[in-house]
Amino acid sequence: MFKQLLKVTSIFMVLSALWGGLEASAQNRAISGQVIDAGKQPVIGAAVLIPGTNTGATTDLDGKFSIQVAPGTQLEVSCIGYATLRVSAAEGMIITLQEDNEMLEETVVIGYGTQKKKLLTGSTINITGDDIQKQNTTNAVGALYSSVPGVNIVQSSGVPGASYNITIRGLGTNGNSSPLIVIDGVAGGNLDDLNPADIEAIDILKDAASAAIYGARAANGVVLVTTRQGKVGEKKATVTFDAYMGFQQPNTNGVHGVTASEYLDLVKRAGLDDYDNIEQTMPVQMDWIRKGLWNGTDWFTESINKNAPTNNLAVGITGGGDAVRYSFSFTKSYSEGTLGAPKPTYYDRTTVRANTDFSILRKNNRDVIKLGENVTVSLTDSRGMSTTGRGSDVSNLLTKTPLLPAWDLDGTLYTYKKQLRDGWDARDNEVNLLEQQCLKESQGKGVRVQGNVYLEVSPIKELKLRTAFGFRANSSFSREYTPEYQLTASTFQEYDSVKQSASVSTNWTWELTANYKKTFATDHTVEALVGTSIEATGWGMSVNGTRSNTKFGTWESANLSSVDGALTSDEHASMGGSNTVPYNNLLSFFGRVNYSYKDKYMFTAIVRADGSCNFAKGHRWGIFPSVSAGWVISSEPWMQSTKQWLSFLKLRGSWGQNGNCRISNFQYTGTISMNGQYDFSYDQVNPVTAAYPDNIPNPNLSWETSEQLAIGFDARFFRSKLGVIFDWYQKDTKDWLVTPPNMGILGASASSINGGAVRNSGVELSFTWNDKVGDLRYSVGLNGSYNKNNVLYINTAEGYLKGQAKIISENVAKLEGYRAEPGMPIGYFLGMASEGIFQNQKQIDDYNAKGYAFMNGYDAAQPGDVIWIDQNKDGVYDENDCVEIGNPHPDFTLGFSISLQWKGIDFSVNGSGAFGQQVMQSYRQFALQDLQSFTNNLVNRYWTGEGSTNSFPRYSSGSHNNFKCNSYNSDIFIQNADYLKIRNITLGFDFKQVFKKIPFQQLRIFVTGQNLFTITGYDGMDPEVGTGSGVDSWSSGIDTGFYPSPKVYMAGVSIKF
Amino acid sequence: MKKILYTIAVCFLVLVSCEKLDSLLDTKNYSKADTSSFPRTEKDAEQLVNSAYSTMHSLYTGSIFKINLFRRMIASDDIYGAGSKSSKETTADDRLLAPSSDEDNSVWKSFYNGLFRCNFALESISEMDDNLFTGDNKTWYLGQVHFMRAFYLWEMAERWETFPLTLSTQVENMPKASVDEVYAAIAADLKDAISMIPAKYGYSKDNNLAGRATKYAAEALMGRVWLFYTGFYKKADMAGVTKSQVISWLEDCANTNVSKFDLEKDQRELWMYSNEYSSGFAYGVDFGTWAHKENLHWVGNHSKETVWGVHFSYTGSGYNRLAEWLGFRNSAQTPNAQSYPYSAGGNGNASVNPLFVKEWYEDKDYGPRDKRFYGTILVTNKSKIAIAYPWYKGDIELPDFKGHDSKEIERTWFYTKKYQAMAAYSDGAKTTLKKNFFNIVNGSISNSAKSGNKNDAIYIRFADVLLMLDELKETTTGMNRLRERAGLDPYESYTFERLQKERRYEFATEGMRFNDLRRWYPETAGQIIEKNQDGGYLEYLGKPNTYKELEGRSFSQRYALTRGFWMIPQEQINLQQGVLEQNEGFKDGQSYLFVDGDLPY
Repeated sequence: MFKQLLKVTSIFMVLSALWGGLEASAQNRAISGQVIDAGKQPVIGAAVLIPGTNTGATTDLDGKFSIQVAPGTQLEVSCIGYATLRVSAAEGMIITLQEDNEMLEETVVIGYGTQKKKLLTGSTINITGDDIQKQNTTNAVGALYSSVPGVNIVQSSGVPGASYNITIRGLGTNGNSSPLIVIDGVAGGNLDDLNPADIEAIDILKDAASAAIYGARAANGVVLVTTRQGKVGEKKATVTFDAYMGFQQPNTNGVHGVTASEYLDLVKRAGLDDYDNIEQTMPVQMDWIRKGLWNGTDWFTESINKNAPTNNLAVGITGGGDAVRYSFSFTKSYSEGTLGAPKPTYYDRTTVRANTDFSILRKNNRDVIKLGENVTVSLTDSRGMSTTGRGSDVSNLLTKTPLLPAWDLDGTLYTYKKQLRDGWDARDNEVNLLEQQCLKESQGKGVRVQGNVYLEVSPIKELKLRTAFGFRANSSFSREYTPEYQLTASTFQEYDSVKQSASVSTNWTWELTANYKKTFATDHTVEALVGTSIEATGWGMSVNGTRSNTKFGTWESANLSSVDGALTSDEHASMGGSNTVPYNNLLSFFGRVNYSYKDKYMFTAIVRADGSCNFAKGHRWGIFPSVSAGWVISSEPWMQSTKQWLSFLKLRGSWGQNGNCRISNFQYTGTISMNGQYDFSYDQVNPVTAAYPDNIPNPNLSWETSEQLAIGFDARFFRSKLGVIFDWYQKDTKDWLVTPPNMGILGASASSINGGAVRNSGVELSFTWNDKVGDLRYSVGLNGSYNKNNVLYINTAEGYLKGQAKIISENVAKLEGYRAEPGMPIGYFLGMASEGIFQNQKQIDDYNAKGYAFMNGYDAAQPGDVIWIDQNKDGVYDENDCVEIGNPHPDFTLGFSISLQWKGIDFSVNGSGAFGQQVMQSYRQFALQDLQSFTNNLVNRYWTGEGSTNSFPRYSSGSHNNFKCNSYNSDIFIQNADYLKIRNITLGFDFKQVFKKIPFQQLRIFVTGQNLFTITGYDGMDPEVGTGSGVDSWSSGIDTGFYPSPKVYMAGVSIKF
Repeated sequence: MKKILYTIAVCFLVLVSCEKLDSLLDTKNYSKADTSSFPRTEKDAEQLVNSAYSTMHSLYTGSIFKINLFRRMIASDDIYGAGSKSSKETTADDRLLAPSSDEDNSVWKSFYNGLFRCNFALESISEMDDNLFTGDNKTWYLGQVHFMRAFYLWEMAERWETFPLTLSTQVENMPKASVDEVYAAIAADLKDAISMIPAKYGYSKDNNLAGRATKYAAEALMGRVWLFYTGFYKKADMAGVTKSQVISWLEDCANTNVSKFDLEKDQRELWMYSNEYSSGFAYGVDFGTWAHKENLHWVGNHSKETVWGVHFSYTGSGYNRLAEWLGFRNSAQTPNAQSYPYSAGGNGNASVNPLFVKEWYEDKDYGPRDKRFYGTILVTNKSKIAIAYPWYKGDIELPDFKGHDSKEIERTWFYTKKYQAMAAYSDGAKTTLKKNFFNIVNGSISNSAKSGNKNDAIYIRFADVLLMLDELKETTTGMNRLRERAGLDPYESYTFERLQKERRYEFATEGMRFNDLRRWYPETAGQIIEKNQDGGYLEYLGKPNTYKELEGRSFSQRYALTRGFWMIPQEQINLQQGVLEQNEGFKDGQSYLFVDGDLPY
């Protein structure tokens, strides 16, 4: 496939070179002139070009230029920040460029409508589809890193196809904190299914006032996605063809496991006697080691999928006349993961999208009746890997003993049979992870359809009525086959088994809006919107079954029917099924009024009422109002004098409320589980159902609300070369839907209550600079944001939200490792703090003389032990000494981008960084798990003698309090995780720019590197840790073995004709 | 502008307050009933009662620490600690230590689930109209739930001594109750069960009646609890329940005519080692097993001797984990063929204390002629026995059994047979060897020595009812029935020592001994167990050694601190914010954790 592509491309290149050669150049006399602006000031660096040629000149410091051209020839004069002008060449000509207002006339999507960017009163970010496409990411979110101040993006893991965690203006809730995704007006869509090249624009609504029109679920902000649409006037179809291919490597930061001999040495140094009789339990392998035939298994490195391929192919067609406008695309992308060998993870997605709109009645260049549809169908197939917590696949690879061979000397898998053959008995029940991985065969497909159909009627120019029906359908199908196996003495299955499952779920929304816009007395423009919408869960069902002892015993032929005998005679058979009866989730009414005076003073008010089925009658409805106002100061007559340097200045402010109801349904009633059973029959084959209440209801449960006050300004300087956006905000999220801790004595699980609040406050600042020097166009963008996250109150009995204990090890169990507590950031790390490591005996004696309380007693202390801080000086180390030892949220995030364009060559670099956050990391469970492997970064961290380190203790058994700290978490596992990542470097060449006559609008080839450089002091694999405890969605920054993001090297071609 | 906003707001309020609109959002839970509509019928009520029973199954999943029966077995002087280094729970249990600070957490939650479900059933069934029920079913249901709640409370009391006493569904953060409050609650529930469960429901093989709590189970449990409370706390009676009341209840239970419970003819036929598939009786073939030689035929689950036990279903989930933990260690070194008919699929945590074996073997009133001796003790490895135990001249059932040297840490070569996992051939020609004979009994049961054991976990045997009566009345009636059954001569008169011995041998390795010692010798039980265990022969990773105590944390020292009670899970202490107090012996600084390397070998 790709070879053919290359062939086609190279033919194009040769042809275009030929056309280029034919270009004629006429010699003419020199004509000089000057370019000035409306304020009669010279315009520096303006381009004066003969259209269609490469002949041209650039104005100097006085705005003057000289060009070889025949008088009367059309010249094109352009400069960033000004409207491009065509004039006839004449000697001594003075050309006056008008300021380009296009930027201000640009419209952006705002939810149930669009608005001129200039008139926006809230804080939103607009990213164009072109900018997204240029980054060549599989998921559009991956392209946003560097350009979205105030939006923190963290990949959930480096598994291909893994989604992203998006947090807008700080973590605002203990529940689901991801923003509402609205795709072409349909709320609740899935960005993972969209092909980035299909996106026309992404608009992120950050403040409450902007998001308020989505009241109900907008507490975490809103991401509006518009897919590419055909446009009126595009009579000739535009066809685009994009393809790239590349390979990936894991960003391990050098982390790997130790060898067998290093491991045995480390275990000995830690004083663990378990391998005293190693010769006896591993006779053959000890011989291998001595002979240099083998030196242990580094499971993590074994699982690396070297040069994992990634490729993508997209074809798109857009066009449109008066009657029909269309946009169609087909995309296929495939990525293999960098880990998981010999059966690496992968993600395969095929997407077909069709957006069409039909003008049924069109008068005076205006659609009176319009009907349209947007549909995306995606087919996905993937194989993943668990990445969160101790015991995840990645953590297993890092902790597995190196003493078990993965491969026999002859290159075959080292199976249990070989363990028996060699008398390998170094540890109990050690499974060869690679063998285990090779066992199971599975295939699964997901089909998702999302889209909408709409009808727009505009009886008069001012009024637009619209109704839209949106839908989402997900279905998935899978088949799995496990042959009979024996991996260890106790890990075996004596029969083969097959499992098949299928499920379908549907959702739909229906909305009705009326929009009226009119300008009165030339200066007053009013736009009003009213609407209603309903969201519902539709029909759904799932079935699954398992059977054993298949007829043929092969993966290809295994299915639920390829088994002899009835279902009841199969002892391992199981079947299951579920169904969803349709119900309405959310019923909403909303209205918005925009008013502007002379495009100078703007005011917007929004109110939305939402009813949710998640709450009991009387607690269902939430009303979410907002107001915002803007003032374009630069349009004031008294500001004309500053026009020279200040092109545009707008001040804006907003206040509003939004809601959140994302909890599981029926918490307001006490539900009865029927899952129990007991058998009162003598022959023991008639179990009867047992019923019991499984929760303690809370009938008063209602909405969570976020309230935000925001002030900011947009400014452009120096004829809009420099753009500056500043924002300040304070966002309070209250009435959190909190599930109080479940005391065992309750006897059932507790229901949520409305009981918590957090304040996020911060500033965002972004700069952009666009300019041109000669033929070199360049732009530089830099943005940064600061956010402070501070819990205000928690209304549970203990006054804080407990996180999970036992994060690092089963026996670091006494207190949760993180919590949400008033006065602290959500999910801050909690534990015992230390002030260094005892370097020598003298230091220990000094501490003793000063009355320091030793955790293990003074006599037991040794150089290399941790100096724990007894916070309250009471002589014991307990809960009262546990303090904040880290904060997983970055204080600052930074994004930057540089792009250069010279003739046909384009080059861009962008990156992002996060600073001030900590990660809790351990690639080993110390306490009670002494015989796990070591990673090299851990080995490097140990104290090995005076002066070696002051932050990590000496080697010892994991049950030593250095690692276990009276069963409390501690700061020896905390690291700063500041990082700066170069996300994307792209170098491209567009033949069209140089060979104007080739029959393409664009023929660009490019090479891209993603994630090539990470600057960090963090010693783990990837400082951008997307995992938390895996239990509480508000926990983050916990690394017990993380699937790192890949480095990607790729090349591709992009053609438009 | 204001006007427009005002109008919109009013419109919304009107819309929102409209009842019809609101009802668009009404949803019905089709996958679960809720408390507003449940229970409505007799069947609903019955299902609530069933949940009081089904919670018992959750005591048999997860950590072995959950099972009181097992814990008492290991902690007593019947059995030593562990078969394997990795079975830390057992080693810790044997020495009254904790393997982790939250080992008890899931069992704590399971017990409170049980209490909550009982409380909910009692509250909601009581409120139901009497006419909804057939005959006297309402009181029958309520009586069973009272029994179940008493059972949970008792198991908790013997485990943690005292705890927050939740007797209604309205639960708030509360401290431990006093010991007397706990026992008063148990006594009240048992009295209710005795009076409410109709006397007509005795032992039964009828569908829907097998395994239910009966009036007689309540009477027997009353005897068990009363004896423990009055003995351990040295009281004359328990919450107003007098000795004579207890005697009359036990006599009612012992009355075979009313209760229909009785002794089986041979105690050895109570245990699944006598099943006919393993011995070959089922196929008319002699597989040469001891059970075949002794002509033993398992009476099956739901024996008439089981006054109270946990039952499992062949077709439902839930299984008895005792066999998994006591069963032979499964490894390359211990294949099934070597251990047949016993299944090598377990963890081997059941090394019987050789000093106990010797005492029994040499007791002139008992000795190996006591049918119960070989019915309890499994003797293996002829050559090792000859060296380690020169006094032993008896039978060796598995002479070639080799065990697993590099794993077993307190191996004595004596194992317990009761609850032992059993292998079997699926036909007389020995074509297929099943790891678990239950798989032959019913094909839907997993052929696993771990997850396929569906044998009853027996809490109260009829034999115990007889011995409790002897102990209370100082008679020999019951003892002599048991002695006769065991092939021994009757005693002529009652002595406390005889009663003690009879209990010890009758219930050997059944998890009774620990609490018997505690109630007879509340202060010194620790010293007794220590004395009875220390110095016994064992092998640590194949090397001969003797049973030793941990320095500074010997059994008697731990017992002096804990009095045999267990740790309150740390997580619950944390969750209850200082309202719940840790038990003595498990507080900070009391060195209660057992960790790798602590064993003194």
